[in-house]
Amino acid sequence: MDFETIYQNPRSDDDRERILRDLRAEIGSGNVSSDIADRISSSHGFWMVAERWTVEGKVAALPDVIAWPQSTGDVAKVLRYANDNRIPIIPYGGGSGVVGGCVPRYGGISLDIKRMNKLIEVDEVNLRATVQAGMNGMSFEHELRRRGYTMGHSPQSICCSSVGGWVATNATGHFSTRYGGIEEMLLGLEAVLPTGRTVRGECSPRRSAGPEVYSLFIGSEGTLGVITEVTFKIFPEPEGRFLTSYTYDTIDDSLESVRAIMRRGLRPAVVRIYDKEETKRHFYDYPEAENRVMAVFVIEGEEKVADVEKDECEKICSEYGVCTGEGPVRHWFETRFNVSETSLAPQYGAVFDTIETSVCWSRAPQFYKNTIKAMHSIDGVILASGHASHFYPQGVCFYFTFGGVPPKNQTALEFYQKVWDAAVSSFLENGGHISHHHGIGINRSRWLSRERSSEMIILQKIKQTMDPNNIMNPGLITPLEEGAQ
Amino acid sequence: MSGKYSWVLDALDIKVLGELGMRKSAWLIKNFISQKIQGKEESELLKCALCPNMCEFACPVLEVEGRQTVSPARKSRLASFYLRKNLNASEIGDNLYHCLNCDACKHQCPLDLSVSDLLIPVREMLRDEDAVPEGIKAVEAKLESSGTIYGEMSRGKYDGMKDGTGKILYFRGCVTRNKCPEIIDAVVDLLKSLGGDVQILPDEVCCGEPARNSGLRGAFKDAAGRNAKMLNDSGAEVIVCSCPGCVYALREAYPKHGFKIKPAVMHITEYLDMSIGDDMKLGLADEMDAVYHDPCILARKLGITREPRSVLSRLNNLRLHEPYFGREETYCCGHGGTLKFIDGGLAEAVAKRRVQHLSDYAKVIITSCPSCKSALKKASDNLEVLDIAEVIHQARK
Repeated sequence: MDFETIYQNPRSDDDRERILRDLRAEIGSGNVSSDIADRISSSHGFWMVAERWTVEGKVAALPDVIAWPQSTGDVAKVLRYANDNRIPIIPYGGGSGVVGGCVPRYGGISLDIKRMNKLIEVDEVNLRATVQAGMNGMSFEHELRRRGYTMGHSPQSICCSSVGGWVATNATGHFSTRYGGIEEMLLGLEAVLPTGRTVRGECSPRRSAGPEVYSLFIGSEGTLGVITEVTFKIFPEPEGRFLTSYTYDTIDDSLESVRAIMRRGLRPAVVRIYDKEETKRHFYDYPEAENRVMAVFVIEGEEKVADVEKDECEKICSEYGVCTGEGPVRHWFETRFNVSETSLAPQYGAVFDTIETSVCWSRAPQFYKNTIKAMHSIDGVILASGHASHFYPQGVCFYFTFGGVPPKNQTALEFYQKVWDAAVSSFLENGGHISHHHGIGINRSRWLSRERSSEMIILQKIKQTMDPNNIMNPGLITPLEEGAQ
Repeated sequence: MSGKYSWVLDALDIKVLGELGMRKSAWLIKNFISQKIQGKEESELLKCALCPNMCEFACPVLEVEGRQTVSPARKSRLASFYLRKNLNASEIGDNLYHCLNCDACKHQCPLDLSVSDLLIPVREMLRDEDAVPEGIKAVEAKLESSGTIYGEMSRGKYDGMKDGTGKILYFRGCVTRNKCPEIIDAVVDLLKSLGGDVQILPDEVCCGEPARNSGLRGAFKDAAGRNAKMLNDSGAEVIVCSCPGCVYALREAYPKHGFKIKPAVMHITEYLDMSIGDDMKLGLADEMDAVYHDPCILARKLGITREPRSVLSRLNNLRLHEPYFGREETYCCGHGGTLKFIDGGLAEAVAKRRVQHLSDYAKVIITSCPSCKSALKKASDNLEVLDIAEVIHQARK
């Protein structure tokens, strides 16, 4: 092998061989590998910085070995071994994360849960499904659809993420305005702690019996243990679905119309507002959208109810904008998983990424404008745009995109970080959060203490209690002090 | 300006020309345009490698093997690293052959990239380095010694058969001859009863498709050259195949490599759909519930999904069920590509997964490919697996 590794692995070849040998004895030789091809394949997720490194023939970081447990018992064996020997564990699901959450900066064991991909139960009476954490999201949704159900969780990464990863990153999906984020869909889970101990918790339909331990794993990003099984709410497939779209003069008008919809208690499954830049980028085939702000709506559920909901949404939207029919929504459905531009940008030499956040309604319009301005203020930025894609009675998620070329004497990474700094500083100064659904990873860790301020000490105590040797994805969420290197 | 990429040019006009200067903007535009136009193999491979694997849920190999390395985009990344000499052939191992050539990835890809096709030139380079897996080496040796992927081919009762003008040539294919001779009986009888003068080559060799997608360029060209000569000299007007892989080779791959086949090439389902008139009575003796399995190459690479259904819809007493993963959304039987030659257990695990899907619908599986029939039959304990020609043959009796 002949390539540069960005984060150097501290372990020797002998150490690596020992880990390999020991783990083979624990969970079988076919379930462990130190082949370079396997190590490269688990070297990062979909963090844009790492994509650029790939173009340059570099690798973000190499784990020492890959372990593919086949059962919760296997996970416990690997964790116990790692804990006894102070070896980092990096849980790996689909590897679709965009903030560097599965980059093995300190080497260690990449624990890939994809061989734990069984559907355990679809409980049609109680509307819940239990599945092993390594199942691919789209495969899970297909299993539900075959039976006439849906989870209502459809992130853009559904095709390449795992159900356990959804929980670990506190994800949300395109249809969240009706069905909620993963935290509202999760009914319980099974996880293995670094000591090898298994914990299970479930609260269908609800309980009041002290703080829920399982909820600690939501957004934990592999820092507390390994999620091995999850139970989610499911919904009968919607009987009726209605599509509509509107264009507006300004982003303010579009936001105001959706605020009014949410305030009325209406819950379209999908609402997406695209600023003028993004309208031009996505709806170039619709002349009526030229130089306008586009919003697409999907309203679904019991047919008669959804029909009324659609009428009410349209009445509100008509006060602020102009109806442009179903066409733009169909276009959105056809292209919503098309991420080809992210495959192309790094090859053109451009630096490109997306940054999501959320903010309350009262600040939303100015928040949007200030953030666009902040990103444009960085030398080399060519485009800065945004859309709003998840809505609540209290506020909205904005999803910003930037692209550009590093100025002279600046590396791609320095440029990238400058734009991120500008955007996230704008979020914090304007009353927003540092993330809405992509999580923290390596990329956002530098802002977490500002976001969580007085809560940080509690997060640290939880981490110390559950993972005293700091083997679980070290350095994420809570800063690394005495690493398990 | 309007159009898909107008936003790029607008952004460049405003920002780059104004603030970054002409030199950098010219460089960026040149980069952008050259990437759009070039479409070089390495560039295509890198595009795939940089994708977050949006097709991975559809990849049967990944689902069954559970190893990120063999996911579509990761295979492209490894190949890309190999082309740039970041990794050598031994470090790549046999990972680039963990592929069923099923194009499930292409079906999901916004850039219309087939990982199997992208990897063929890389596999050819590995062959040139003598770095192919042992199973593939064995296939090459068998092709060289016998002209088939099985090493030897027993002489069949139809070898060299020719009725009348022999205007319909039935190209049986290695798998049909070795694993499913009952399909040959059914097809020959059907073709004859439908009024054709049927002929079969005396020295038919493998179509070469397994060699082509394994990167065995020489073996493929050798097979293509031999078959092209025999087929073009046969005097046939139409070539009918049971195997979708043979149809793909003769119809699509041969011409791309300079071997033009003069007679029309048809899959048996196309021929039956064309030949069975609406007034022809077709009925099974007993009622049958069956589920149809679309072969990947037939459905995805050749786009043939209507014809088998059209033919089967003319049968009385047949209730045909559509599986959830059907038509272009089908799921490989496990015997696609050459995976079975390097990891038979893995290929069988894929077959079992497919049987699991299909067994929800009926006790009988009908398909249109000898490899699918062979794979599904082996993987199912209590299901009957029939080729479409056998079903129509039964119904014509």
